[in-house]
Amino acid sequence: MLPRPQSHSAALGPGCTGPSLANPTPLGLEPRPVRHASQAPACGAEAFVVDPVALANGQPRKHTQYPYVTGTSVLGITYKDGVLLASDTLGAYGSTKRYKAFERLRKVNDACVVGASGELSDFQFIMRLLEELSDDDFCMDDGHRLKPAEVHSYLTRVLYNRRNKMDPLWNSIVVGGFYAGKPFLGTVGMIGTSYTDAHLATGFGNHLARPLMREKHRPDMSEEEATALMHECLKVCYYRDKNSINRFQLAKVTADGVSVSEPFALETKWGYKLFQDPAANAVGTW
Amino acid sequence: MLEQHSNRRTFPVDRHAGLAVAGVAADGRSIVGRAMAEANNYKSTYGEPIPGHVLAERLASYVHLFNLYWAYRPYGVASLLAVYAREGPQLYLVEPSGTMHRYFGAAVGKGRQGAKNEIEKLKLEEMTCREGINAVAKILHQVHDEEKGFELELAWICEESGKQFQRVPQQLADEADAAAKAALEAEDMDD
Repeated sequence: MLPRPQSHSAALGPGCTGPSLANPTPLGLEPRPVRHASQAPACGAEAFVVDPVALANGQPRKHTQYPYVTGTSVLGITYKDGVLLASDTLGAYGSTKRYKAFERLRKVNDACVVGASGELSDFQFIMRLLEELSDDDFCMDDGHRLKPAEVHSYLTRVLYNRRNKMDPLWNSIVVGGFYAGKPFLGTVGMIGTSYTDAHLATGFGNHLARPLMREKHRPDMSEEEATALMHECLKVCYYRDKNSINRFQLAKVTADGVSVSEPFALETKWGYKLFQDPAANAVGTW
Repeated sequence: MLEQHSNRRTFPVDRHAGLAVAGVAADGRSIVGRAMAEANNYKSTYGEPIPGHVLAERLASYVHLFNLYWAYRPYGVASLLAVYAREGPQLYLVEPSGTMHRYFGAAVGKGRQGAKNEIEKLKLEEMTCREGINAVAKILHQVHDEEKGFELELAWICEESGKQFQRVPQQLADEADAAAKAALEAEDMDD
Protein backbone atom coordinates (compact mmCIF):
# COMPACT_ATOMS: atom_id res chain seq x y z
CA MET A 1 0.00 0.00 0.00
CA LEU A 2 1.19 3.43 -0.82
CA PRO A 3 1.67 5.70 2.19
CA ARG A 4 -0.97 8.40 2.24
CA PRO A 5 0.22 11.94 2.78
CA GLN A 6 -1.18 13.81 5.76
CA SER A 7 -1.59 17.02 3.86
CA HIS A 8 -2.44 17.91 0.33
CA SER A 9 0.27 20.45 0.33
CA ALA A 10 3.43 18.68 -0.65
CA ALA A 11 4.92 22.07 -1.27
CA LEU A 12 5.88 22.26 2.39
CA GLY A 13 8.67 19.84 1.62
CA PRO A 14 9.71 16.72 3.46
CA GLY A 15 9.98 16.84 7.21
CA CYS A 16 7.53 19.65 7.83
CA THR A 17 4.54 17.66 9.00
CA GLY A 18 5.91 14.15 8.98
CA PRO A 19 7.97 11.77 6.95
CA SER A 20 5.04 10.77 4.79
CA LEU A 21 5.20 13.97 2.80
CA ALA A 22 8.54 12.94 1.42
CA ASN A 23 6.64 10.42 -0.65
CA PRO A 24 4.88 11.46 -3.80
CA THR A 25 1.09 11.34 -3.60
CA PRO A 26 -0.65 8.44 -5.31
CA LEU A 27 -2.14 10.99 -7.67
CA GLY A 28 1.31 12.03 -8.77
CA LEU A 29 2.29 8.46 -9.46
CA GLU A 30 -0.54 7.76 -11.85
CA PRO A 31 0.53 7.94 -15.44
CA ARG A 32 -1.04 10.90 -17.16
CA PRO A 33 -1.77 11.03 -20.85
CA VAL A 34 0.57 13.34 -22.67
CA ARG A 35 -1.29 16.46 -23.73
CA HIS A 36 -0.11 18.99 -26.17
CA ALA A 37 -0.87 22.06 -24.22
CA SER A 38 -0.81 24.39 -27.17
CA GLN A 39 -3.69 22.60 -28.85
CA ALA A 40 -5.67 21.61 -25.78
CA PRO A 41 -9.01 23.39 -25.44
CA ALA A 42 -9.61 25.33 -22.24
CA CYS A 43 -12.52 23.07 -21.25
CA GLY A 44 -10.07 20.30 -20.35
CA ALA A 45 -11.17 17.86 -23.02
CA GLU A 46 -8.81 16.46 -25.57
CA ALA A 47 -8.28 18.57 -28.63
CA PHE A 48 -9.13 15.81 -31.01
CA VAL A 49 -10.87 12.65 -29.89
CA VAL A 50 -12.16 9.81 -31.96
CA ASP A 51 -14.68 7.93 -29.84
CA PRO A 52 -12.66 4.98 -28.43
CA VAL A 53 -15.73 2.74 -28.67
CA ALA A 54 -15.60 3.25 -32.39
CA LEU A 55 -12.08 1.86 -32.55
CA ALA A 56 -12.60 -1.00 -30.11
CA ASN A 57 -12.91 -3.77 -32.67
CA GLY A 58 -10.32 -2.32 -34.98
CA GLN A 59 -12.95 -1.09 -37.37
CA PRO A 60 -14.37 2.42 -37.51
CA ARG A 61 -17.96 2.69 -36.38
CA LYS A 62 -20.21 2.59 -39.38
CA HIS A 63 -23.76 2.96 -38.13
CA THR A 64 -23.54 6.70 -37.65
CA GLN A 65 -22.18 7.12 -41.14
CA TYR A 66 -25.49 6.88 -42.86
CA PRO A 67 -28.83 8.46 -42.09
CA TYR A 68 -31.88 6.39 -41.18
CA VAL A 69 -34.88 8.63 -40.52
CA THR A 70 -34.57 11.63 -42.77
CA GLY A 71 -36.27 14.85 -43.66
CA THR A 72 -36.13 16.39 -47.10
CA SER A 73 -35.60 19.97 -48.22
CA VAL A 74 -35.92 23.07 -46.06
CA LEU A 75 -36.46 26.35 -47.88
CA GLY A 76 -35.77 29.85 -46.63
CA ILE A 77 -36.20 33.34 -48.04
CA THR A 78 -35.72 36.82 -46.66
CA TYR A 79 -38.25 39.53 -47.33
CA LYS A 80 -38.87 43.12 -46.43
CA ASP A 81 -39.42 42.72 -42.71
CA GLY A 82 -38.31 39.24 -41.86
CA VAL A 83 -37.49 35.72 -42.89
CA LEU A 84 -39.66 32.80 -43.99
CA LEU A 85 -38.66 29.17 -43.55
CA ALA A 86 -40.65 26.26 -44.92
CA SER A 87 -40.49 22.49 -44.94
CA ASP A 88 -42.80 19.50 -44.99
CA THR A 89 -43.41 17.47 -41.84
CA LEU A 90 -42.22 14.08 -42.99
CA GLY A 91 -39.74 11.83 -41.26
CA ALA A 92 -38.94 9.19 -43.85
CA TYR A 93 -37.48 5.81 -42.94
CA GLY A 94 -35.57 5.13 -46.12
CA SER A 95 -38.31 5.76 -48.65
CA THR A 96 -41.08 4.73 -46.26
CA LYS A 97 -43.14 7.69 -45.15
CA ARG A 98 -42.81 6.72 -41.52
CA TYR A 99 -43.49 9.84 -39.41
CA LYS A 100 -45.89 12.28 -40.98
CA ALA A 101 -46.09 14.92 -38.27
CA PHE A 102 -42.46 15.56 -37.48
CA GLU A 103 -41.89 19.28 -36.99
CA ARG A 104 -38.62 20.13 -38.64
CA LEU A 105 -38.80 23.88 -38.05
CA ARG A 106 -38.05 24.78 -34.47
CA LYS A 107 -37.87 28.00 -32.55
CA VAL A 108 -34.58 28.74 -30.79
CA ASN A 109 -35.47 32.09 -29.24
CA ASP A 110 -37.49 35.19 -30.07
CA ALA A 111 -35.17 36.12 -32.91
CA CYS A 112 -34.27 32.79 -34.44
CA VAL A 113 -35.60 29.53 -35.91
CA VAL A 114 -33.75 26.58 -37.33
CA GLY A 115 -34.94 24.04 -39.84
CA ALA A 116 -33.16 20.81 -40.64
CA SER A 117 -33.08 18.20 -43.33
CA GLY A 118 -31.18 14.95 -43.05
CA GLU A 119 -31.03 12.59 -40.09
CA LEU A 120 -33.77 13.66 -37.73
CA SER A 121 -32.35 12.12 -34.57
CA ASP A 122 -29.22 14.17 -35.14
CA PHE A 123 -31.47 17.21 -35.48
CA GLN A 124 -33.09 16.39 -32.16
CA PHE A 125 -29.64 16.23 -30.61
CA ILE A 126 -28.74 19.60 -32.13
CA MET A 127 -31.97 21.09 -30.80
CA ARG A 128 -31.04 19.86 -27.34
CA LEU A 129 -27.78 21.75 -27.56
CA LEU A 130 -29.55 24.90 -28.67
CA GLU A 131 -32.26 24.59 -26.03
CA GLU A 132 -29.65 24.27 -23.33
CA LEU A 133 -27.94 27.41 -24.60
CA SER A 134 -31.15 29.41 -24.67
CA ASP A 135 -32.16 28.12 -21.23
CA ASP A 136 -28.84 29.38 -19.95
CA ASP A 137 -29.52 32.73 -21.57
CA PHE A 138 -32.91 32.81 -19.87
CA CYS A 139 -31.39 32.12 -16.46
CA MET A 140 -28.72 34.76 -16.92
CA ASP A 141 -31.61 37.20 -16.83
CA ASP A 142 -29.74 40.02 -18.56
CA GLY A 143 -32.09 40.28 -21.50
CA HIS A 144 -29.50 39.05 -23.97
CA ARG A 145 -30.32 36.25 -26.37
CA LEU A 146 -28.29 34.39 -28.94
CA LYS A 147 -28.36 36.32 -32.17
CA PRO A 148 -29.19 34.44 -35.36
CA ALA A 149 -25.64 34.92 -36.66
CA GLU A 150 -24.30 33.47 -33.42
CA VAL A 151 -26.56 30.44 -33.63
CA HIS A 152 -25.39 29.93 -37.21
CA SER A 153 -21.75 30.26 -36.27
CA TYR A 154 -22.21 27.90 -33.31
CA LEU A 155 -23.79 25.25 -35.51
CA THR A 156 -20.94 25.47 -38.03
CA ARG A 157 -18.49 24.74 -35.22
CA VAL A 158 -20.56 21.84 -33.87
CA LEU A 159 -21.01 20.19 -37.26
CA TYR A 160 -17.40 20.76 -38.31
CA ASN A 161 -16.13 19.36 -35.01
CA ARG A 162 -18.22 16.24 -35.44
CA ARG A 163 -17.02 15.68 -38.99
CA ASN A 164 -13.45 15.93 -37.67
CA LYS A 165 -14.29 13.07 -35.34
CA MET A 166 -15.37 11.06 -38.37
CA ASP A 167 -18.82 10.98 -36.76
CA PRO A 168 -20.76 13.66 -38.56
CA LEU A 169 -24.18 14.97 -37.68
CA TRP A 170 -25.99 14.10 -40.88
CA ASN A 171 -27.87 17.34 -41.37
CA SER A 172 -28.19 20.35 -43.58
CA ILE A 173 -29.47 23.13 -41.40
CA VAL A 174 -31.05 26.44 -42.26
CA VAL A 175 -30.92 29.22 -39.68
CA GLY A 176 -33.38 32.06 -40.07
CA GLY A 177 -33.56 35.10 -37.88
CA PHE A 178 -34.23 38.76 -37.53
CA TYR A 179 -31.93 40.97 -35.53
CA ALA A 180 -31.26 44.73 -35.39
CA GLY A 181 -33.73 45.41 -38.18
CA LYS A 182 -32.06 42.99 -40.56
CA PRO A 183 -33.12 39.54 -41.67
CA PHE A 184 -30.57 36.75 -41.38
CA LEU A 185 -30.53 33.56 -43.38
CA GLY A 186 -27.71 31.07 -43.26
CA THR A 187 -27.09 27.39 -43.85
CA VAL A 188 -24.72 24.77 -42.49
CA GLY A 189 -23.91 21.50 -44.21
CA MET A 190 -23.10 18.19 -42.52
CA ILE A 191 -19.34 18.77 -42.79
CA GLY A 192 -19.51 22.33 -41.54
CA THR A 193 -19.72 24.12 -44.85
CA SER A 194 -21.66 27.31 -44.34
CA TYR A 195 -22.83 30.42 -46.08
CA THR A 196 -25.47 33.09 -45.84
CA ASP A 197 -27.69 34.29 -48.66
CA ALA A 198 -30.94 36.10 -49.34
CA HIS A 199 -32.65 32.83 -50.20
CA LEU A 200 -31.64 29.28 -49.39
CA ALA A 201 -32.61 25.67 -49.75
CA THR A 202 -31.18 22.34 -48.64
CA GLY A 203 -31.03 19.04 -50.48
CA PHE A 204 -33.37 18.64 -53.44
CA GLY A 205 -34.62 22.16 -52.84
CA ASN A 206 -31.28 23.41 -54.12
CA HIS A 207 -32.16 22.01 -57.53
CA LEU A 208 -35.92 22.44 -57.55
CA ALA A 209 -36.65 25.61 -55.59
CA ARG A 210 -33.54 27.74 -55.87
CA PRO A 211 -33.98 28.45 -59.62
CA LEU A 212 -37.47 29.75 -58.90
CA MET A 213 -36.16 31.87 -56.07
CA ARG A 214 -33.37 33.29 -58.19
CA GLU A 215 -35.95 34.28 -60.74
CA LYS A 216 -38.59 35.76 -58.46
CA HIS A 217 -36.99 36.75 -55.22
CA ARG A 218 -36.40 40.38 -54.28
CA PRO A 219 -35.15 41.53 -50.88
CA ASP A 220 -37.99 44.07 -50.64
CA MET A 221 -40.83 41.59 -51.10
CA SER A 222 -43.93 42.00 -48.95
CA GLU A 223 -45.02 39.18 -46.68
CA GLU A 224 -47.82 38.15 -49.07
CA GLU A 225 -45.46 37.99 -52.04
CA ALA A 226 -42.90 36.04 -50.04
CA THR A 227 -45.54 33.59 -48.83
CA ALA A 228 -46.82 33.12 -52.37
CA LEU A 229 -43.30 32.43 -53.62
CA MET A 230 -42.73 30.00 -50.80
CA HIS A 231 -45.95 28.12 -51.60
CA GLU A 232 -44.93 27.88 -55.22
CA CYS A 233 -41.50 26.52 -54.30
CA LEU A 234 -43.01 24.01 -51.87
CA LYS A 235 -45.41 22.83 -54.51
CA VAL A 236 -42.65 22.32 -57.06
CA CYS A 237 -40.63 20.41 -54.49
CA TYR A 238 -43.62 18.27 -53.61
CA TYR A 239 -44.34 17.42 -57.27
CA ARG A 240 -40.77 16.34 -57.97
CA ASP A 241 -39.44 14.98 -54.69
CA LYS A 242 -40.84 11.54 -53.90
CA ASN A 243 -39.63 11.73 -50.29
CA SER A 244 -41.99 14.56 -49.42
CA ILE A 245 -45.61 14.88 -48.39
CA ASN A 246 -48.26 17.53 -48.84
CA ARG A 247 -48.15 18.72 -45.26
CA PHE A 248 -46.07 21.80 -44.74
CA GLN A 249 -45.08 24.26 -42.07
CA LEU A 250 -44.08 27.85 -42.51
CA ALA A 251 -41.99 29.65 -39.93
CA LYS A 252 -41.84 33.42 -39.83
CA VAL A 253 -39.33 35.57 -38.00
CA THR A 254 -39.94 39.31 -37.79
CA ALA A 255 -39.22 42.09 -35.36
CA ASP A 256 -42.31 40.86 -33.44
CA GLY A 257 -40.81 37.43 -32.82
CA VAL A 258 -41.09 33.92 -34.14
CA SER A 259 -44.19 32.09 -35.27
CA VAL A 260 -44.32 28.57 -36.65
CA SER A 261 -47.57 27.87 -38.47
CA GLU A 262 -49.83 24.91 -37.96
CA PRO A 263 -49.30 22.25 -40.64
CA PHE A 264 -51.22 22.93 -43.84
CA ALA A 265 -51.66 21.33 -47.25
CA LEU A 266 -51.33 22.99 -50.64
CA GLU A 267 -53.70 22.47 -53.51
CA THR A 268 -52.12 20.28 -56.11
CA LYS A 269 -53.09 19.29 -59.59
CA TRP A 270 -51.99 16.01 -61.09
CA GLY A 271 -54.01 16.27 -64.31
CA TYR A 272 -51.13 17.54 -66.41
CA LYS A 273 -50.64 15.58 -69.57
CA LEU A 274 -47.00 14.82 -68.91
CA PHE A 275 -47.83 13.60 -65.44
CA GLN A 276 -50.42 11.20 -66.84
CA ASP A 277 -48.05 9.84 -69.48
CA PRO A 278 -44.59 10.31 -68.03
CA ALA A 279 -42.96 7.96 -70.54
CA ALA A 280 -44.00 9.99 -73.57
CA ASN A 281 -40.69 11.81 -73.80
CA ALA A 282 -38.52 9.03 -72.48
CA VAL A 283 -38.47 6.14 -74.88
CA GLY A 284 -37.61 2.84 -73.27
CA THR A 285 -39.14 3.57 -69.87
CA TRP A 286 -42.53 2.48 -68.70
CA MET B 1 -26.93 55.73 -4.29
CA LEU B 2 -27.39 52.19 -5.51
CA GLU B 3 -28.12 51.75 -9.18
CA GLN B 4 -31.69 50.51 -9.64
CA HIS B 5 -32.14 46.76 -10.09
CA SER B 6 -28.50 46.08 -9.21
CA ASN B 7 -29.41 44.27 -6.02
CA ARG B 8 -31.75 41.56 -7.22
CA ARG B 9 -33.60 39.35 -4.77
CA THR B 10 -35.59 37.25 -7.22
CA PHE B 11 -33.84 35.02 -9.71
CA PRO B 12 -34.88 32.70 -12.51
CA VAL B 13 -33.74 29.12 -11.99
CA ASP B 14 -35.25 27.54 -15.06
CA ARG B 15 -37.97 28.61 -17.48
CA HIS B 16 -40.64 27.41 -15.07
CA ALA B 17 -38.96 28.11 -11.74
CA GLY B 18 -37.74 31.06 -9.76
CA LEU B 19 -36.16 31.72 -6.40
CA ALA B 20 -36.59 34.63 -3.99
CA VAL B 21 -33.95 34.83 -1.30
CA ALA B 22 -33.73 36.64 2.02
CA GLY B 23 -30.59 36.90 4.09
CA VAL B 24 -26.94 37.01 3.05
CA ALA B 25 -27.07 38.10 -0.57
CA ALA B 26 -23.92 36.25 -1.61
CA ASP B 27 -25.21 33.00 -0.10
CA GLY B 28 -28.42 33.61 -1.98
CA ARG B 29 -26.64 33.83 -5.31
CA SER B 30 -24.74 30.68 -4.49
CA ILE B 31 -28.00 28.82 -3.84
CA VAL B 32 -29.47 30.15 -7.05
CA GLY B 33 -26.44 28.83 -8.92
CA ARG B 34 -26.94 25.42 -7.35
CA ALA B 35 -30.66 25.45 -8.19
CA MET B 36 -29.88 26.30 -11.82
CA ALA B 37 -27.41 23.44 -11.98
CA GLU B 38 -29.96 21.01 -10.50
CA ALA B 39 -32.66 22.11 -12.94
CA ASN B 40 -30.27 21.84 -15.87
CA ASN B 41 -29.04 18.44 -14.75
CA TYR B 42 -32.57 17.09 -14.32
CA LYS B 43 -33.57 18.27 -17.76
CA SER B 44 -30.58 16.73 -19.48
CA THR B 45 -31.17 13.43 -17.66
CA TYR B 46 -34.93 13.08 -17.93
CA GLY B 47 -35.72 15.40 -20.85
CA GLU B 48 -38.41 17.35 -19.01
CA PRO B 49 -38.43 20.31 -16.63
CA ILE B 50 -37.68 19.52 -13.01
CA PRO B 51 -40.83 19.14 -10.85
CA GLY B 52 -41.16 21.48 -7.88
CA HIS B 53 -40.88 18.90 -5.13
CA VAL B 54 -37.73 17.41 -6.64
CA LEU B 55 -36.02 20.78 -6.96
CA ALA B 56 -37.06 21.79 -3.45
CA GLU B 57 -35.87 18.51 -2.01
CA ARG B 58 -32.54 18.68 -3.78
CA LEU B 59 -31.98 22.25 -2.65
CA ALA B 60 -32.91 21.35 0.92
CA SER B 61 -30.53 18.38 0.92
CA TYR B 62 -27.82 20.65 -0.40
CA VAL B 63 -28.19 23.34 2.24
CA HIS B 64 -28.56 20.65 4.90
CA LEU B 65 -25.05 19.39 4.13
CA PHE B 66 -23.64 22.66 5.40
CA ASN B 67 -24.93 21.89 8.88
CA LEU B 68 -23.04 18.65 9.13
CA TYR B 69 -19.33 19.49 9.15
CA TRP B 70 -17.32 21.69 11.42
CA ALA B 71 -15.47 23.22 8.50
CA TYR B 72 -18.65 24.65 6.98
CA ARG B 73 -21.13 27.16 8.22
CA PRO B 74 -24.80 26.86 7.39
CA TYR B 75 -26.20 28.97 4.61
CA GLY B 76 -27.46 32.35 5.72
CA VAL B 77 -30.54 32.47 3.54
CA ALA B 78 -34.10 31.31 3.58
CA SER B 79 -35.44 30.98 0.08
CA LEU B 80 -38.85 30.88 -1.49
CA LEU B 81 -39.00 28.58 -4.48
CA ALA B 82 -41.77 29.07 -7.02
CA VAL B 83 -42.37 26.42 -9.67
CA TYR B 84 -45.08 26.07 -12.30
CA ALA B 85 -44.69 22.55 -13.64
CA ARG B 86 -47.04 19.77 -14.67
CA GLU B 87 -48.46 19.64 -11.14
CA GLY B 88 -49.51 23.29 -11.36
CA PRO B 89 -48.19 26.28 -9.46
CA GLN B 90 -46.31 25.47 -6.27
CA LEU B 91 -44.54 27.43 -3.58
CA TYR B 92 -41.81 25.98 -1.37
CA LEU B 93 -39.90 27.42 1.53
CA VAL B 94 -36.35 26.09 1.90
CA GLU B 95 -34.62 26.92 5.15
CA PRO B 96 -30.91 26.85 6.03
CA SER B 97 -31.49 23.89 8.32
CA GLY B 98 -32.38 21.79 5.31
CA THR B 99 -36.12 21.68 5.86
CA MET B 100 -38.44 22.35 3.02
CA HIS B 101 -42.21 22.76 3.13
CA ARG B 102 -44.84 23.57 0.61
CA TYR B 103 -47.12 26.52 1.33
CA PHE B 104 -50.02 28.40 -0.15
CA GLY B 105 -48.47 31.57 1.18
CA ALA B 106 -45.18 32.15 2.92
CA ALA B 107 -42.80 34.92 3.88
CA VAL B 108 -39.10 35.02 4.69
CA GLY B 109 -36.73 37.62 6.07
CA LYS B 110 -36.89 40.18 8.82
CA GLY B 111 -40.54 41.15 8.52
CA ARG B 112 -41.83 37.64 7.94
CA GLN B 113 -44.03 37.49 11.04
CA GLY B 114 -46.00 40.57 10.14
CA ALA B 115 -46.15 39.52 6.52
CA LYS B 116 -47.42 36.04 7.40
CA ASN B 117 -50.20 37.57 9.50
CA GLU B 118 -51.28 39.66 6.55
CA ILE B 119 -51.08 36.73 4.13
CA GLU B 120 -53.34 34.69 6.39
CA LYS B 121 -56.04 37.32 5.97
CA LEU B 122 -56.02 36.91 2.19
CA LYS B 123 -58.37 34.57 0.41
CA LEU B 124 -55.74 32.91 -1.73
CA GLU B 125 -58.11 30.47 -3.47
CA GLU B 126 -60.17 33.29 -4.93
CA MET B 127 -57.33 35.52 -5.93
CA THR B 128 -56.07 36.18 -9.43
CA CYS B 129 -52.41 36.72 -10.06
CA ARG B 130 -52.89 40.44 -10.71
CA GLU B 131 -54.76 40.87 -7.44
CA GLY B 132 -51.99 38.92 -5.76
CA ILE B 133 -49.43 41.42 -6.94
CA ASN B 134 -51.33 44.29 -5.39
CA ALA B 135 -51.72 42.40 -2.14
CA VAL B 136 -48.02 41.48 -2.04
CA ALA B 137 -46.98 45.08 -2.77
CA LYS B 138 -49.21 46.32 0.04
CA ILE B 139 -47.81 43.82 2.54
CA LEU B 140 -44.25 44.72 1.61
CA HIS B 141 -44.99 48.38 2.22
CA GLN B 142 -46.61 47.52 5.54
CA VAL B 143 -43.68 45.56 6.91
CA HIS B 144 -40.97 47.98 5.80
CA ASP B 145 -39.84 51.06 7.74
CA GLU B 146 -41.53 54.09 6.33
CA GLU B 147 -38.46 56.35 6.37
CA LYS B 148 -35.96 53.86 5.08
CA GLY B 149 -37.44 53.18 1.69
CA PHE B 150 -36.91 50.06 -0.37
CA GLU B 151 -37.00 48.84 -3.92
CA LEU B 152 -40.05 46.80 -4.76
CA GLU B 153 -39.17 43.80 -6.89
CA LEU B 154 -41.95 41.61 -8.22
CA ALA B 155 -41.69 38.45 -10.26
CA TRP B 156 -44.32 35.92 -11.25
CA ILE B 157 -44.89 32.60 -12.96
CA CYS B 158 -48.46 32.41 -14.19
CA GLU B 159 -50.71 31.91 -17.19
CA GLU B 160 -50.13 35.51 -18.17
CA SER B 161 -46.36 35.04 -18.35
CA GLY B 162 -46.77 31.82 -20.30
CA LYS B 163 -45.95 29.70 -17.22
CA GLN B 164 -42.45 31.12 -17.37
CA PHE B 165 -40.53 33.04 -14.77
CA GLN B 166 -40.85 36.72 -15.54
CA ARG B 167 -40.36 40.03 -13.82
CA VAL B 168 -43.75 41.66 -13.49
CA PRO B 169 -43.97 44.23 -16.32
CA GLN B 170 -42.78 47.61 -15.07
CA GLN B 171 -46.12 49.28 -15.68
CA LEU B 172 -48.04 46.70 -13.62
CA ALA B 173 -45.44 46.84 -10.86
CA ASP B 174 -45.66 50.62 -10.69
CA GLU B 175 -49.45 50.43 -10.56
CA ALA B 176 -49.32 47.89 -7.74
CA ASP B 177 -46.81 50.08 -5.91
CA ALA B 178 -49.00 53.16 -6.22
CA ALA B 179 -52.15 51.24 -5.26
CA ALA B 180 -50.43 49.83 -2.18
CA LYS B 181 -49.28 53.24 -1.03
CA ALA B 182 -52.72 54.75 -1.60
CA ALA B 183 -54.44 51.91 0.30
CA LEU B 184 -52.11 52.30 3.26
CA GLU B 185 -52.57 56.04 3.37
CA ALA B 186 -56.34 55.62 3.28
CA GLU B 187 -56.09 53.21 6.24
CA ASP B 188 -53.96 55.73 8.13
CA MET B 189 -56.55 58.40 7.54
CA ASP B 190 -59.24 56.16 9.05
CA ASP B 191 -57.28 55.73 12.27
